[in-house]
Amino acid sequence: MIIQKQQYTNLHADLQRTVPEHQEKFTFRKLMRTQNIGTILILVLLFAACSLTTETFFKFNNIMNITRQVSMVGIMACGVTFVIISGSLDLSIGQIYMLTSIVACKLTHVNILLAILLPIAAGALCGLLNGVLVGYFRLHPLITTMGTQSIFLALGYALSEGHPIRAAENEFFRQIGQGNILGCIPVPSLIFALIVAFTWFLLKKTTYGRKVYLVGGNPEAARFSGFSFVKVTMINYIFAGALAGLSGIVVCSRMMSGVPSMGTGYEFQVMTAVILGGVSFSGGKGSIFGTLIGMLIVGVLNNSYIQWGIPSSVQYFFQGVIFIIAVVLDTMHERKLGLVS
Amino acid sequence: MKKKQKLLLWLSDNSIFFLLSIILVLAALVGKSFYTKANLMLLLKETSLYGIIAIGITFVLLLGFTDMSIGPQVSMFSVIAILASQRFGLASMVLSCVLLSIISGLLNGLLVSKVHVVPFITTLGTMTVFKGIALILAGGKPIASSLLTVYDIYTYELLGVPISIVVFLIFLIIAAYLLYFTKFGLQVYACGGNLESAKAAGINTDRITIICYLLSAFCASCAGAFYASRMGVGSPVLGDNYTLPVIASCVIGGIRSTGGKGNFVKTFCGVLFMQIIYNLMAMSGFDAYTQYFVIGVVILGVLFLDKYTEKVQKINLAQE
Repeated sequence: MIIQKQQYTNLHADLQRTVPEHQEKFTFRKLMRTQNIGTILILVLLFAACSLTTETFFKFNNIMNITRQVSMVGIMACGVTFVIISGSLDLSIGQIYMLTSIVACKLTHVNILLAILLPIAAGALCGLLNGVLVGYFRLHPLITTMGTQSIFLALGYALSEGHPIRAAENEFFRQIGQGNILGCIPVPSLIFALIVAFTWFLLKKTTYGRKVYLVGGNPEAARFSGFSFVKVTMINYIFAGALAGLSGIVVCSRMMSGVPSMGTGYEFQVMTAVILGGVSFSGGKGSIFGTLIGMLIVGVLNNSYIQWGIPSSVQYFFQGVIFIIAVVLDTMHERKLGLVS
Repeated sequence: MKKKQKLLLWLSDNSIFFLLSIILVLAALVGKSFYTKANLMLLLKETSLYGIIAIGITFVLLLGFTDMSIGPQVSMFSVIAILASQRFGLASMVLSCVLLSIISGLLNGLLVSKVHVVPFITTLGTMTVFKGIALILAGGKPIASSLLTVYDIYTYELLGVPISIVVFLIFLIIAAYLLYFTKFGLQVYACGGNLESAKAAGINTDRITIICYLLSAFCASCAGAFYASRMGVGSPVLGDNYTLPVIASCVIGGIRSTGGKGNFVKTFCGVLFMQIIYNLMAMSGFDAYTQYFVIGVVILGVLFLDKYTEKVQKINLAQE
């Protein structure tokens, strides 16, 4: 009996000894398991490197400038996050952005209220086309949006007749892209922040957000649970289109003009931010927070090139290398955790 | 199977041939100078360059993967071709491209097969890297060759046929042979149809993937060398606008977007169809952007047909 008790206490002591170690290990593991830990580290390192090596980086004005620069692509990226989490893809987003900015530009000559409302509706309409094709007819998302991309491009060129057009001068409209609130916070950054907060709420705190994850993660299970793939996909595309419309208005106001060749390549920038943010292309994984981090990495990186005086040709190379490293790390991390086969 | 369904299936399977014949008839009605020797030669030359890229990417598409880096690879190799010809002479032009294409193909192939990164994302990343390399090598601007013999490659004629068309035809025959008469070809179709069951059947899917990306890079490098010799200029932004049209023409040609279906005759017809559209529209004075619209609509139409075929086949399978 005594021996048994002795053994028990020994065991207990053993346990007590091992637990703290175990816990310590666990917290480290937990930290490594935190989503986006890799990208957060990259962002912090980049930020530190820029601040230490240049005098001009860590200034309030420069930081605000970065947020203003990322806000246009950032707003789009929030919408595309929904589309990709639900397992689809949108390559046409850059051309929707261009098309809506030209619509906004044209409408400034008619009525300023229309110039703010109609582009969002136009973007949503473009999204509806994508949504019907991919959601209702179940066409392949990559090639479908490749097709609609060239349709939107053609529409944009037809509207602008192939050359950059000027927006009508209007102080209120100009403020959307170029103004500051309280004299220091750029209006586009504020819009971006609001959109981030709204989409974060939508994705994390509402049933709709859960549906988006479920449809992307396991479409079969979603179907048996009574969630419609068609509905979720269509709403996502419309939402992404409307947000592209909003960012079209911002960019139109920022440049006070509409340029029909502007949209090309933007879909890749958006995609870069979203993928850096850890959204998985197999669907069902990702967050708005991650997209925000991805967007900030792109913004800080772009700014650092200018700070360090790196020529644009080398920028492409670095951007690609960082992108590949992030994706490879992410994939290996996922495989280690057994999230993908 | 109902007779009507059978007919529709057959129609949608061979849609590209109907599209092609419609556009050829239309060409006779619309463009007065379409059926002239000069224009047809121009058309074929242009088709052969696009076609060389398309042959390579067809292998990748047949696996159900994508290669978004194909355009920047073309521009990178056009720059490399010019640089090599400057330094080591004409012979090194093609040689350096072909040798270096092994590296770019391996990079894509290894990332997709061994590291298991999704193909679309991998090639999105390598796309930017290749574009960067092209820009760095060229110093951010198109570089012209001081060697006048550079033009010789493109203008060389074999028995009165331009060399680019000859090379394209040779590639087409080799690729068709690989796909239809070798074990490799069957394995490509098997992997494209269902990667998991191909793996279960003992096919080394990683090897097949790497070889397909190597072939894609190889074809891109040849096209890059030809583009360089056509203008005597290597441009780092030349290929940016090639990726989507080339993939689109393969899809129009009837390569199923999820892989496992399609062949080279159809790819060739798809490329030819796109080029005729470009040619006709330029000839009849449409602005460049109507082309984009038409091509967008055609892509969507082909996708619809593809989906319909799949659906009917599934229903019939279930009934049997």
